[in-house]
Amino acid sequence: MTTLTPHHALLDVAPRSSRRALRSTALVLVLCGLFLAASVCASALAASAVANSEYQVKAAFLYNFMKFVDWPSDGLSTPGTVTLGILGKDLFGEALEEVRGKTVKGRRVVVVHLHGVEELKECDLLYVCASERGRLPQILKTVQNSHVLTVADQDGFCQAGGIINLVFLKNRVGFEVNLGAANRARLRVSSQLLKLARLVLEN
Amino acid sequence: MANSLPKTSRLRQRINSYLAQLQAAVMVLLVLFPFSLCQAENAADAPEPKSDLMEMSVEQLISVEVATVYGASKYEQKVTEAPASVSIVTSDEIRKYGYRTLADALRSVRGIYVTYDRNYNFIGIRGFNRPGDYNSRVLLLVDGHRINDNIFDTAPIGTEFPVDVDLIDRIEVIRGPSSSLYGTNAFFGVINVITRQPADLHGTELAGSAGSFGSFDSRVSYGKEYGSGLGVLLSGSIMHSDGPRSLFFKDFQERNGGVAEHADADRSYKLYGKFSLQDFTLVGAYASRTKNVPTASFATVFNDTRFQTTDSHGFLDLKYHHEFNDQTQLTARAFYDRYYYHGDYPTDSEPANFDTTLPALATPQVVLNRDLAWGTWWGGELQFTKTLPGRNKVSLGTEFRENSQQHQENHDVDPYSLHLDDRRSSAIWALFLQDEIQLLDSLILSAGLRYDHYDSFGGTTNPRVALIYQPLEGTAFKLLYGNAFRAPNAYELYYNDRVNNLSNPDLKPEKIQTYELVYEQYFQEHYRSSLSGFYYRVQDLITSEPVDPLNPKDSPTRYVNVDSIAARGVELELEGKWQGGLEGRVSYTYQRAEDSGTGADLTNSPDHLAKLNLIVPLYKSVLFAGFEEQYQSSRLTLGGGQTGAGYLSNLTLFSRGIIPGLHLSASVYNLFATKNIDPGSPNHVQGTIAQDGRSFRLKLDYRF
Repeated sequence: MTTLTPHHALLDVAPRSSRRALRSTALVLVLCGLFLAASVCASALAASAVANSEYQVKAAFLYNFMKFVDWPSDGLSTPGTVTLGILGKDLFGEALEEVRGKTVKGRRVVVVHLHGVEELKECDLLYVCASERGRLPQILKTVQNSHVLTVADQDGFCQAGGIINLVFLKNRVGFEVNLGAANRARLRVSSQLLKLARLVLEN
Repeated sequence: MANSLPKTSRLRQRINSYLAQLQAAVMVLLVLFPFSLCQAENAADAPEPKSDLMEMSVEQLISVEVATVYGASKYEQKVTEAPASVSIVTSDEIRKYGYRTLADALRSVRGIYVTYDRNYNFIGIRGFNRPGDYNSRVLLLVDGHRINDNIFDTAPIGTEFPVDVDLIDRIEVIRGPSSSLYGTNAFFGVINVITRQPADLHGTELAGSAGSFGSFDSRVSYGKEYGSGLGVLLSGSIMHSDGPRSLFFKDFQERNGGVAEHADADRSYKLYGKFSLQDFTLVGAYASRTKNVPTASFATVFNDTRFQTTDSHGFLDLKYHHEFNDQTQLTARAFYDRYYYHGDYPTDSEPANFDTTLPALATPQVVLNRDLAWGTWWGGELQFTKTLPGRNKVSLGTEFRENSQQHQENHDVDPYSLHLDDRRSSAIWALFLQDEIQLLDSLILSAGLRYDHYDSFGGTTNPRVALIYQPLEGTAFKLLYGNAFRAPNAYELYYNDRVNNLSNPDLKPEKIQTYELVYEQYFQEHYRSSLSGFYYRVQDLITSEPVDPLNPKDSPTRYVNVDSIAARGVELELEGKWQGGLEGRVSYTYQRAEDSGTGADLTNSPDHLAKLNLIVPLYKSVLFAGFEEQYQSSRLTLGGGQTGAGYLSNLTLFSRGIIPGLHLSASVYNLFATKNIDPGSPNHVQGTIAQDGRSFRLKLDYRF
């Protein structure tokens, strides 16, 4: 990095023949085509292995929450099943299909999409999608006195009175727990789960 | 003789067309190769179609990676929601592909090409990598700490990069202008290197490697998070390489037959410490590298091993990050950096004689010219981020940087003669605002604006606006617009030895305007694809020009704001990741960059780049093969020549856990020993500079 020796043309002139340009364009088109064809071919392949799209991970978390939270013996909405209710715009896509039909502590998992507030109490785990943020206080108030495990993935959910919030940090999905809210809903969150939570609110 | 010309040109044409066909065939293979593999893989797994995630414990789930990026908005966000096109290189890839330097890792990234002049590595991005510039148009950060120095603005990515690659957790490559957040240098892109946390080390690590050209590296690291919450990471590395015993340069046949002997050595050491306690993180780093330069650049004497440069950079960085319960985040940072550069340039006291038709000078009097630079800077940053109702995430920040020392010196050692002693100081302050609003469930608007104030030229304001549309989970369209600037650096403004280069304190900042369209698609659990197009215009590009254009040979040069550039390009990438550790990616970039004044092609700007990266598990999760193939089309050199297409293949075998805690790797770089050349800079007599042939490395890494 010392003085530059005199020099001139940093941008040298190299006339480009139209043929070369044509060839480049053709090449680009061929590659674009290949890329699309490859994408289509790839999407037609059967899914078989590790997923790490965000909502795949979140769906797996929901399944685990059902395992590590105990509902009071009279608390489940329907005996023999655990009902996972999705409220709002569902971003899980296919990911929830993995949860549907699984068994947790001898109970079968049922997945339902909820539409109105009156349906909220019919589920055991309520997942509040980001689209419902505007009416969060109303939703939480509705399920306040029932044994519903409320879960969401929005900032401030636990602070607002929700029980478990999924959060993103350092490339990974983690979760926060509002233990006070869980106790009020008479849900027992296993210590194993609490140990791994990013944040445990006691109030 | 007369009729042999057309014949040769016809022959050349035919060869060119063969080469083009070969290029096309190789690229088609590159695109198709991973698919044939994944087909096979799927066939093998077909009987049991289930996702493993459901079988994972919570403990495993919290360690599953989902692609996020920090550097695009100065807070963590999903890659799909970032207001930029982003690539990530992970520590796992660094190990499995056997990357020795940051430059090695960057070469594998879509759209990036790296040029090496046997002293420094230069990042080419979006078709721009002008020979003779020092990586000043890419901002390099280590955990958010600015690494570009305050004299040359260099982003060091070779062996002079201050952090050992083994300490890297991941590398974020954020394309496009980010001056709206970072100010100067964030011109073509930002590279944010995120280092490992103390808790990631679980004790002591010893690493050693031996490779071709007498290369030996060793590292000792210790990391632990104590019960009190105190995290400590300490690391020290020493690296040494003799370099090739001899290097041949045909332009210097008059001296020692064109052979530079023992003139390519590279020695460096790095120290790094990180202490974290609750919301505070203190990092201290120091690294120094000395490189022998074999190319006789800057009109130095050929085959004189005294030609060497030393770059040292040390810094202290104290960061405070607190998340309040009411959705407010506060980040504060204080930093202190020192940079030192020392270059010994043996020069003929007579003007150098490069006319090879004349006999070499009898016994030239060699004078050692010493070029020195000291840079010291300190400052602070403060940033508030608050999530407001209505899904509105606002960040407000300020930065202050005091360049307390910008000292450049040049003198002849014996007889002593001072050519330059320039001492400066300057200050920069900036304010920035960024807002990420969720307009609709599927539509995010991210808008940012930053004002920077410089002592020299005054203020500059740079915006960035991004619309991110996610109609479905896994689908993202991004429409991006951004402006960026690069302030003239101390070297360009004030380097004045009265003979070779004159100062120009009136330089203005360079400006860029970029438009981008990005489409990202995740599908079938395994794949991520991305398709993007960009267009940019650069104005007032700072370029070294002869002061007297009529007599360029004898005239000194000076930096001026003259050139303007326009470029456009398309990038495609497909990434896949499967169970058991099979993963890969393939990318293709088409780019055209030209001088908008003259329509001339840029030098060192390949039109086509294609890359293939593949990790194949060979035996359970114990043995892996990492293979990469990189192609770049021919590049124009300064003299108007062409480099020809370049191919590079690297292969690494990596094993872990044969003995608990032991990582072993064996790498072959440039597997097929292809003869690759990079364009020389205006400071080289050589039009092109040969790159290394086949080389090897064995590496051992033991954790306990």
